[in-house]
Amino acid sequence: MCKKNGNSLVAALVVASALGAFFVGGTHAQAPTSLEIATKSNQVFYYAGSDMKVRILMTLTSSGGQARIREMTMLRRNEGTAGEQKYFIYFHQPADVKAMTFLVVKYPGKDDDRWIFVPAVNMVKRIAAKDASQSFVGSDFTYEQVSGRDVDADEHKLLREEKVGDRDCYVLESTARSPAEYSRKVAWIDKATFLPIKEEYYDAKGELFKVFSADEIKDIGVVPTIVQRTMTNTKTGHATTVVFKETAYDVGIEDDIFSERYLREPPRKWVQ
Amino acid sequence: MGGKTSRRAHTSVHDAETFLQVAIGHRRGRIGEFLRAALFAGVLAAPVLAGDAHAQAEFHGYVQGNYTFRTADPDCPPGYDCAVMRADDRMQLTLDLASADGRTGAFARVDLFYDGLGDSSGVDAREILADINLGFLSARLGRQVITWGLGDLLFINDVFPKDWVAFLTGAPLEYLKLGSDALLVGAYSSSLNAEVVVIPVFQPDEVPSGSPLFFYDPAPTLTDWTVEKPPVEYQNIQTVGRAYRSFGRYEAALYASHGFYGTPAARPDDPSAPTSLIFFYPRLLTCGFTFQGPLASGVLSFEGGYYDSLDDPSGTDPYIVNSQVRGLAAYQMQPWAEASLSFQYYVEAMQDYAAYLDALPPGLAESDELRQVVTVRLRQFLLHQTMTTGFFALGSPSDEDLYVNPFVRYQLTDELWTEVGGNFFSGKEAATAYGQFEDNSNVYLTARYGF
Repeated sequence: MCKKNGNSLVAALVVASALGAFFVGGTHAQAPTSLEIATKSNQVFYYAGSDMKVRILMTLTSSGGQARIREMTMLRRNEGTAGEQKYFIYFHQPADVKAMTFLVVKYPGKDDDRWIFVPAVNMVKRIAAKDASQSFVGSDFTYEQVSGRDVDADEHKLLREEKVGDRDCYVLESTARSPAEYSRKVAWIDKATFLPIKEEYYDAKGELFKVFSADEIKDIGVVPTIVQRTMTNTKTGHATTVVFKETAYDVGIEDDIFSERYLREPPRKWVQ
Repeated sequence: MGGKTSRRAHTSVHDAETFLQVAIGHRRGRIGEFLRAALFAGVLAAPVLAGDAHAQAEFHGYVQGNYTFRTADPDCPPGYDCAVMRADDRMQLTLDLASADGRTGAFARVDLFYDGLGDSSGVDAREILADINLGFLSARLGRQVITWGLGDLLFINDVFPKDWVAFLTGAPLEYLKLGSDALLVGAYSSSLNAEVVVIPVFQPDEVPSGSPLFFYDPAPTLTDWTVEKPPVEYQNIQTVGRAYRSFGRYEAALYASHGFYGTPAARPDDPSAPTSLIFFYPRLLTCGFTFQGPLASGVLSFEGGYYDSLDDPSGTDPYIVNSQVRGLAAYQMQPWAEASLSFQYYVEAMQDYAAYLDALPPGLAESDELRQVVTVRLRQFLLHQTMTTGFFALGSPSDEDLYVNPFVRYQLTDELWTEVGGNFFSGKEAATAYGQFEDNSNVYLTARYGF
């Protein structure tokens, strides 16, 4: 759930924009603080562009090797500057969930609003759920890991800087302040793009249970984007790989798409 | 069943079938129906595809087996096998067509079924429609399933047809809703949305009328039944509408409908010396509202409606349901990981109770002025959401009856799922909404392979 207040996020975003300009300028007069790194990373990972359309292929693999597929089109639109976002998801497969649609309105500092449309009975249902602990369609990603978590829901600490492969990274430790799936997360954040290259999730006992890796990063236009990522549950061996098959930013998704009307009447222009 | 009014399975198959055919005959046809459906789909699809080289088509479906076994042990009429309540094999075919610009489309969802109980097969055209999006306007024409309102198995502003037989005999929940042959027109804006549905030919609910269901029959000696559906006339066109909008994170809607009760009323042909029962559909006017929004970490919902029984304005006709006020309050939340819990409180208040009591013929079961219902639904996902288990429980303190539906569903692969569950009914009185179905308690097994 996106806990904590929005005002500090606004402030953080302002800082982030300033930082962005600063970094683009290329002057490394001062290393960014842990909060600045977390804020900037959150911004590039979850808020890139004014909107985004992406066709996602999710492969869930059990420890025994059985694979399950979730294919969907996700439309995302940023609303204003306070961090509010809308997500529209249309499921292509498996056949059982074909044409199911899903709407999420994400508010910083408040619970999200969610609606699901069940085509077999032509019913829209509003549902309440906790993003921090709810798996997204049975995958190893929680809702929060799909749509983002408030930066100030965690306490951030810059541990060190080190290389992952050929990328220089900040190693950032985030300790949960408000309810989360983890008690502590360590992220390797690429200094160049601010995208997370690797993340380790630790449970309340301090044991590693999940590992995230950015498997492929591509420039979509001018936006560096993780087009393939994997989350592996190291305790169960279950893993989820997410591939962005078609990604586009700033495509002009209209605000009214994120409505009950289009849940019931999926916008073919966008989801085909 | 000692001491209770008998729940009767109609021993005459002819009666039950006649009733079914009269009531829902147009839905479950055989090859003729299929051809008509195919033709209709073709007519609807033609303008979509004509001259459109980039039109898109998607084809899906499933094969499904659905078997239900009675766990109750009623006095089974001779010649009946009461043990099996449903033996239904079907293939659903779904065709979705769209023009290249996505503005127009056609859709068909048609079931080919074999009913092992009646040893019959046929075509069940569940939805066949065409739609068009004209910017702020949308229209959809054809057979379509429509679900409105906020209640979970409790309906106030959803006056669209339902198949209670499928529901009671353990069919997947989506088979509770029947399509309406209708025109839906919607107008949408950021400040207000409105939809109007016009249903030219009245479509009743499918209600228990004989084997395999036992139900309360107030006049078991009258075995001669006739069904009078409202004739197809201009004044019998059903119209249903709603208007809705959001207020920040809150959503509000107003509803109205003019048509008929979906479940039939019954009156004897001659009250003093009855020889047969006539089933008919009284006129109904409804208006109502819904309101929904966040509360704490859950969703709070309210729904209300007034059921104006137009054919019995004073409440003095003993064979027609009195006007009612219906209300619902519900709350849904996530109590722990991968779970959903919801509660509902529902009430029906009869409007002319004194008149109803005065007019009630001797021997007929007396209803309470207030019918109250509480429900709980719990759903738990397990094993990366490949297993879902939970239950729905409905109890009425006024009717003193109970309905419980526990279930486990397992998704063996992306294509194949299977579900085992039960529908258990119990009640003190034989005449109450769920108590009457006590002898129909069952377990069901469904397996579906999607493609």
